[in-house]
Amino acid sequence: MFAVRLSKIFSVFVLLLHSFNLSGETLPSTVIKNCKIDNAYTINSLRDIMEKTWQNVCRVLGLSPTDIPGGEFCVNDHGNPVYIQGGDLCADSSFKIPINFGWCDEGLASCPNPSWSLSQDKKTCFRSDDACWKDIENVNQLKLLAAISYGESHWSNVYEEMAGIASVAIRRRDTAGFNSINELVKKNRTFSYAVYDGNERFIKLMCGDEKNFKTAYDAYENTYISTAIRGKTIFWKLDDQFLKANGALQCR
Amino acid sequence: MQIIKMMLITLILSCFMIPCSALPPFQVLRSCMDLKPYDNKSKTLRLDGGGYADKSIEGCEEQYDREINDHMYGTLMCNQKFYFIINDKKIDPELADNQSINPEIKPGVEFTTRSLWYKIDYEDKEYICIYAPLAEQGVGASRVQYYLIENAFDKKLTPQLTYYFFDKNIAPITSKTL
Repeated sequence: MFAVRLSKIFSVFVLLLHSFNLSGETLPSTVIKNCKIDNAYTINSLRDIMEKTWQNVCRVLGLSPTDIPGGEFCVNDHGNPVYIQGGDLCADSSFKIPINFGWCDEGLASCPNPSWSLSQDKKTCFRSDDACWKDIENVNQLKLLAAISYGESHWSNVYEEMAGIASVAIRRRDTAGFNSINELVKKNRTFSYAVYDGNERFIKLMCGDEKNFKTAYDAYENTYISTAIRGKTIFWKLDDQFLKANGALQCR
Repeated sequence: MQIIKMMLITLILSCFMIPCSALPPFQVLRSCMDLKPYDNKSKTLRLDGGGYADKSIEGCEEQYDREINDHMYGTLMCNQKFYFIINDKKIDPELADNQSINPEIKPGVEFTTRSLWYKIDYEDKEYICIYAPLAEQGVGASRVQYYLIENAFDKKLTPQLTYYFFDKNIAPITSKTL
């Protein structure tokens, strides 16, 4: 009884916090469609096993699939059946039992991205104030391009890859006649993406201290000089870094 | 019993008033995702032979298409907006039934010639499958978006587009919720 009351008080407190926006931002969640993308088979006592066919489940268990027509079970050493559970694999990677019942088609309450968490009633999304958001339109061009180059490149921080990405962005800006990278990404919303993979690179650079991202800033500086355009001519600066680059063959 | 009868009648009537659109079977989607037949009822055929058209549809540019049975299929840009050409007709991809599980990635994202086009046959029905990277460079290049197009080969029918994207962990950098 006391626990129930405590839980109610806590819920009211959380709701109040969200309503007054004291500790972060709250958004209504979005209902998105989900759909079936495959059949999958498992065994109820060992749900980690997930195979495309029920026969494969038997093989993983080291058992023989039955040869009875229409039967979907394995046979153990004592000749007894071990039943296989079929289900639908949904687009969001969830597994819905039973198979072909259409449970994947139910709407899915969702938040914009993994920096937001879905409330228990699935009606709202919340994130705390420590999330960092910089207004793309007002951040300076150097920082934005460094963030794109860093965010879009591999975690191993290869300079040539970052310079290549920065070069693509600058050429796209210039050929489309935009005044800045900021204008390019604003008008062409799908030009560049940020990924949530536990190592949020774009966000780290946008929110972090410049001195920690020297390679990314260098990529910008060098590429900027390398792609200066005068009329129909592109000028390339053959500095030490570009001449020694291993990956950027087109720059040689 | 009466209630069930009423519900059935309502359902049948609503199907006549509003066309009941069903999603393509998952076997078709799976064949598109894997670029190979899902099972022995499915067939896939790569639609090759794409190239830039000498002249784009009026008011448009960058028409990249391929000819199938004397009809054109491809992509083009009109007033800086991305379109498909299906059976010689310009079609807005934003009209696709959106099955993306990522609220920030919707139909209409421009893609280029690196996309793969397939014809999928499944249980006497034909579909076009488009398998396209989300972006040309960087992290978006390794994420795939899919379109399935029904009624793509019959001029008398309206093409039905369905859009799929299955990665929740990516967002455009211009997103206000990043």
